[in-house]
Amino acid sequence: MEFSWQLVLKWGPSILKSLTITVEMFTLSAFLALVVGTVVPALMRLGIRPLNALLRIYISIFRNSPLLVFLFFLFYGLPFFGIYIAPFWCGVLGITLNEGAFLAEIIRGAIQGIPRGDWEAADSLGLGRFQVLRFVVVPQALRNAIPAITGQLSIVMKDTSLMSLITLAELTYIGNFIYSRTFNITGLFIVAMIYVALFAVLNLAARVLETRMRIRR
Amino acid sequence: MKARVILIAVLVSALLAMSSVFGIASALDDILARGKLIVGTDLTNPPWEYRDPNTGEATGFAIELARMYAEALGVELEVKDYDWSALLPALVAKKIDMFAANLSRTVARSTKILYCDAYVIAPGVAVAKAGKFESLEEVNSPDVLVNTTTGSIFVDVAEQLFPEAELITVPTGAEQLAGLLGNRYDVTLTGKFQALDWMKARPELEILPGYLMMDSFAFAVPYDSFKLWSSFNVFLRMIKLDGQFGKLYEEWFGAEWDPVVIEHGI
Repeated sequence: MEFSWQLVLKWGPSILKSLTITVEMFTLSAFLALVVGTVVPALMRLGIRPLNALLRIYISIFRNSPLLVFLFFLFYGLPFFGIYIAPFWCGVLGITLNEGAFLAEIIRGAIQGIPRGDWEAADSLGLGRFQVLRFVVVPQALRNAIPAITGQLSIVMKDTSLMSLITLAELTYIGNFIYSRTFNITGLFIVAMIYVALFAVLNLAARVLETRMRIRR
Repeated sequence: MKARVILIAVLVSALLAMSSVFGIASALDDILARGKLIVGTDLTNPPWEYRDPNTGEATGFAIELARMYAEALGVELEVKDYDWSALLPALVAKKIDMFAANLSRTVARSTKILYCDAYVIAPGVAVAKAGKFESLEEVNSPDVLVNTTTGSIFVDVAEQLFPEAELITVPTGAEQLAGLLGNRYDVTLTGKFQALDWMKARPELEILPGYLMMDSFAFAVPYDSFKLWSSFNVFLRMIKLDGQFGKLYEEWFGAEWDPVVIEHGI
């Protein structure tokens, strides 16, 4: 089970291709999950009862069910109802809805942490309900939640590896595939190193963002 | 005097430690000592190995064969369920004593594990929704999605026979069937007996005419489990002589076991 440069050369192009798929899926689903995670708690603050009930149901369903089960439902289940979603988009949809629910709870907590005085000050300036959220509360809440959000985003990166189970040739899939063809750990080793590098970049970005956004009060 | 006693004690314990490191105790001795044979398999491949839908118990031709062997040894059988592609690493890492499944023999695999004697020959086939393809030749086209399980021998077969088509793989036989029924891919490659089992309750599936290749299945053990390997081979030979193997074969495949044809094929 030695490391082999020959295998690296032979499978390099496939690994690079799978890296782009992983990065694309991460970028897209992290962005969409953030949108969902920001919009949902903001909407809940508007105080429309039926809407709140619906959003609460959404959050509890996705926070309390494994992402993999939902992915299997999208990939293997929906075709029986005549609905086809390509594996890549099953992944984006699954991660967005699942991680969106977690991010929504994180950001809801951060919104609740904004002092009452800020709400009242914004009200007294004559801002409408939506404007209070848009210009005063949500920006502060997002800033306070940065460490928790970036932590959740690394989980999004880990989630992308589940797509190897729904036939998408991302990093984990290729690592497994190379191993099952060659019985050599080189492929898995390279893939592991790439993941470490991806997480290093992600953590660095998180740290920079945290420092940039820090406000001395 | 005291120093000598300590020295002897240290040497003895070092020897004991080395004997376990260098594997003087054999896998078969371990199995007999613990009273349990641990086999690894992927319980999504009827009729070879699967869970009985009524009882949830592991069964199938390969499992029953392993059970017969465990009984012959006078030990219990424990079945560990893995994804197909995780089985070979599990065997190499000795998490299981034996890989008991419809495991094809390949030269590449033989460099990592020790195959026991093959127990059956089985043709490989392509399965699709009825009427989708007329012949195997039609599968070799860029707009066809071909499927099989990750790490199976059919990955090589697909690359040799259908280089034009796109290949996607799934972890287990259960997903293989679910994806085919849900039109996630056009055709899937598997052994004939498994395909026949799928088709029992699913008339919408058909086997494309012709065989992909002839395949042979064998159990496997880690490379240094010679005693276990030799004991299992003797067992297999014995039950072929006394008729128990033929009985098991007929029970599971409904066809008479023909030693002349099958043994020559192997």
